[in-house]
Amino acid sequence: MLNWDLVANPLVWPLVMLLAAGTVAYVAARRVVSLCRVLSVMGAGLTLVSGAVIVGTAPPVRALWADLGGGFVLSLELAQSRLGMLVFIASAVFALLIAVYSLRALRGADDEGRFHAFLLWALAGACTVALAGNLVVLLVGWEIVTLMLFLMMNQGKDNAAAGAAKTYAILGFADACLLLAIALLAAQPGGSANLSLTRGPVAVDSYGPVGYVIYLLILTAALAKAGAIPLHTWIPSAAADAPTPVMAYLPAALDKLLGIYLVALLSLRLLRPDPSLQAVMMVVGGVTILAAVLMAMMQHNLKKLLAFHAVSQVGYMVLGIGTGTVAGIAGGLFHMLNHALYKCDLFLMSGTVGRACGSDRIEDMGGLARYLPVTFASSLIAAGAISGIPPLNGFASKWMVYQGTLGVANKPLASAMLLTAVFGSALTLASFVKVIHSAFLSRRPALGWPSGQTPRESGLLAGPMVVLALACIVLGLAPQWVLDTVFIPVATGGATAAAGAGDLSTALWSPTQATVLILLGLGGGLLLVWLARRNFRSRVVRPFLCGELAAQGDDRFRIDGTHFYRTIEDLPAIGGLLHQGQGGAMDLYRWTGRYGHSLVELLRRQHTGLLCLYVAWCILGVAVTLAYLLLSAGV
Amino acid sequence: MTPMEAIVPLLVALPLLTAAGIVAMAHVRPLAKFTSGVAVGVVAVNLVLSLVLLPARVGPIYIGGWSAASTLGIQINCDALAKLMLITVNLVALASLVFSLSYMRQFTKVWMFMSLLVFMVAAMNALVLAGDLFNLFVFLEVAAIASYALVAFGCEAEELEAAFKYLVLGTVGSTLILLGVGILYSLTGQLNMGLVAAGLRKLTLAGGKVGPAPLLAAACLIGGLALKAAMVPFHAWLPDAHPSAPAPISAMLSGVLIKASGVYAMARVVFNVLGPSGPYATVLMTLGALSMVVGVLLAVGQWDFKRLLAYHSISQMGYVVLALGAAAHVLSGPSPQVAVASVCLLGALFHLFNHAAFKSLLFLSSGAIEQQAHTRMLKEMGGLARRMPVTGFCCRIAALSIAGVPPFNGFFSKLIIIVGLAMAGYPVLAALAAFVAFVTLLSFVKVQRYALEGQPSASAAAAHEAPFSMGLAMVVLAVICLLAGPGMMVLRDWLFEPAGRVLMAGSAALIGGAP
Repeated sequence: MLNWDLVANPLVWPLVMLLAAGTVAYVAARRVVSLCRVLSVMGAGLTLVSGAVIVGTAPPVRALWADLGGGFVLSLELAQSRLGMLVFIASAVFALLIAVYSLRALRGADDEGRFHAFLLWALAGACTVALAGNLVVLLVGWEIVTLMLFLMMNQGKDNAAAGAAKTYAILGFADACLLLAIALLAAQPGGSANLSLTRGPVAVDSYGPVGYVIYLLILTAALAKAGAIPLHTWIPSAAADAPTPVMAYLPAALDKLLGIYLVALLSLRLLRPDPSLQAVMMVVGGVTILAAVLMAMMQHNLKKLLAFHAVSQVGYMVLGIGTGTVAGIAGGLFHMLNHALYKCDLFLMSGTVGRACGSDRIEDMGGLARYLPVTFASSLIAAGAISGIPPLNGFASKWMVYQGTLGVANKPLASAMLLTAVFGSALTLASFVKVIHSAFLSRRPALGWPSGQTPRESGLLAGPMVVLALACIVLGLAPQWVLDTVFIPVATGGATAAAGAGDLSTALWSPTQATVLILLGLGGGLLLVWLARRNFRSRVVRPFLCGELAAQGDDRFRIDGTHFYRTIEDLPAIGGLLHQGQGGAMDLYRWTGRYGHSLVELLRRQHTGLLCLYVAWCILGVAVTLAYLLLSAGV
Repeated sequence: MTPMEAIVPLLVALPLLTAAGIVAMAHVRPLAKFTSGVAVGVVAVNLVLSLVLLPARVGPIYIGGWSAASTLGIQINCDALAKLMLITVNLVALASLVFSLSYMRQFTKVWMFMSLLVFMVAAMNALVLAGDLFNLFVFLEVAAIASYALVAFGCEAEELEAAFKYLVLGTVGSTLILLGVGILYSLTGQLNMGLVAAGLRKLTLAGGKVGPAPLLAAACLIGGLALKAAMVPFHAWLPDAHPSAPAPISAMLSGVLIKASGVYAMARVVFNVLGPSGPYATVLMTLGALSMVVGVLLAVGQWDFKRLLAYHSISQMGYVVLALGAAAHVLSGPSPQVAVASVCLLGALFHLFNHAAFKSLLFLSSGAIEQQAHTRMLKEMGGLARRMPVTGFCCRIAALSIAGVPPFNGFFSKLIIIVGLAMAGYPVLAALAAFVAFVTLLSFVKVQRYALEGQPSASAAAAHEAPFSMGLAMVVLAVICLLAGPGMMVLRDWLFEPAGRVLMAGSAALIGGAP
């Protein structure tokens, strides 16, 4: 029964360790919470270490589990790849940071112990996906992550259950798509060998039309997980009520990694897309970028705003991979990593800020820069990164995506998408100017602090954010190493467009020179401020209000940062659409619910409870059966 | 008769005598309090016996001095398919009985309940062991009559109405089955399944074409058995009957009765008596697909927890019948694809077993919840995972199993069924099955959201954990749901593969009459 190759293979160890640690934590959740905390930090840390150990060394392993006949073989197959190991290690890093953050953020919460158990299990699922050698193994890990997300989201505020249910519904649909794709692939000639993720891709049309169906099914699954339009609505719905560490861990980080990882696997290892499918991906990417960022600008809830940005950024990754060029694919994948870093940081910021202000409403925030300087600094970096400001990492990957888009043969589409992407980036900046201003720089509203005392930095809360912000800087300044080791080799293997490696030199942004200039500029600016502060006295006066007296803390004279953006809601055409979007008009989940409900009601109305009717159905059923049998026998 | 062969009749005789014995015991004061214990004991013995039988090779057994040559002999046919059903039936029956030890305290005349339940187990054991069509019919009726009484056990208006509907429709089904058996008897002069199959083959060979009479018999048998299996459009009795019964009985009805008297009997008749052919396969697949879709759509709109579960039984049995039909389809015709058929059959039988485990667990947990929260409506529950951790945990595992979430058992059987359908050349049905799996997930997300998560309602706030015996029954079933997935290969080698081979052998599987 026991397969020794499997047990002895180091790829299996972290998975077993995580499952075991999660189980222990789950059992101990109610009684020994401290054990759960230790387990989750240790478990994530050990996974990180084991990732570093196995990378490049551990051989692939394949244990036959069930030969079901007809060419359908279920096997436990694990293998490491460059991209897979990147996802593995990044997932472990995020798990570790979130575990540390929640030591403080969730201390004393009802379900703290279980949170840690779910965190470990979710990491186990993510690592399974990253190491999966075939689609069935991937599906198992994939669904475990979905389930853990659902269970973790349920631990939030009163309304969390609704958002969690919606999340599971949409992601469950994605899982069903993946399941069906597996079945269809296994039924093609070649059997379960088609499910292998370690062999090269075949052209999508080599299976005939069903190949396109399979491609679109897997793409749907991946995009729902990553949160691209139109299957994105679970992220904003869940964001407001789910616990912040959960949002930072799964939708912001792990789900993006896994979703985009699957898009990459699909295009680079399973089915090589043709230009029509690439165009579909590019359009999905472009629409996602623009629509979601417009929605983000309208939000008054910080977490919802971040959630819409989490959707919008997926667009860049999908667009990049959809281009099919080396620069585009590498850029899209690089953006996946970058986005996970800064978005995780920003969600953690929203948790800290929300905690300090006692509210997630942007209008209720303000003046936190003085009290939370470390949080402010790291959020500023992350906000800069997401807005694509050089020399941060977000710029480096967006630049590659832009360059990749330029290499696409279909020029009209490419230019339209490029324009959308750049415009979206500008709007992202606008949106984060609002956030940074409202949360950190504007005047504190007259509400006072919720706990009665001024907020203070906590090492456990700020530490993970600092790490993430530093990572944003490092990857921005020195992207070359990670690009050369992971993204460019992966992309070179899978590029389909004529634009090969030749255009890479222009596509890669070389940060050294520019960085020096940017740093010089920043330094000059700071020097000016310092000199000004030193040599000129500023005069503080009360605002002149034509004689009317205003109290010092009067909120009527406070600029909270959200007013300015109301103009977007009043724009012709777009404004109306956005309002409808806010009301759920573009929510497939809602529409499906509505039409599904009427279908169900139609069926229910037939069940009147009248016995004679039911007997009639039975007689009719037998009659139809008999008629069919007689007809088919030709009697 | 070898010792193993001597065991087989005990599986029927023991519970049958015990059922009568319990009635007698209840009227003798010092013994009255032991009735429940005796019931649990005899079913436990039955389970052990059916496990002991599993590795044994048992040939056909002739009972009561009837000889092998006799046309009307009573033959017991304990092949691998029967063994699979025996284990499933007795396992679920034992869990339900253990659960009832605490649960039934709220009712009077518990002995009557115990007696009827054991009686039903005896009938189901007999019906899966029956080697001839008439005994199959007789024990179908015995099991059905016990279940009519059990559905009405609470004696409230709603329960009596449900039992009445169930009785009338059940009788329609039984009449159809009897008619079918009668026609086959008149055609072949035999009742023994193997001999009927041989007779039908001879008829076909002689005429080259099937006449209308065997087709009428087939339509009656399939229709009647589809009614017992609650396939759409023969399903209307089930959503009333299953929720009205006490929870352990709902678990028995949904968990095993519709399988033993419906799906098992249908598979036996279609594969081993009539022989798999294209038109029969199409009928099975149509019934299966229709039930799968209609059942799940009706389920997803329900707010009554037990009704929701009942509709899901229709839908999940649809999966099994659909996969059986696909297997029959690839087996019929000039070049049978045996490998594909074995995948479909593995999926069908595995799902049948899994459904027995998770659906009975769901009904048991619904009973535990109803007892504590005093409601069956999902919207009036809430926060029960916290108030009733063991029940909540078990309910969650069962919900995830039926929803097809890995690593629980339902995921694997659904995966195999969907892959089997795609391999058999039905990608659209595979897509339908995947879609139904998604809607099933939706409706169990709803169950989890309203019953287990969220804020406790007024009635749920006072809920406490279920008593020990109820918890024990649920935990055992939950462990089966957890282990059956990863342990699939062991189960396949011992249970599903041999049972699948019986079905694949078609009309030559059963040796009737003289060897």
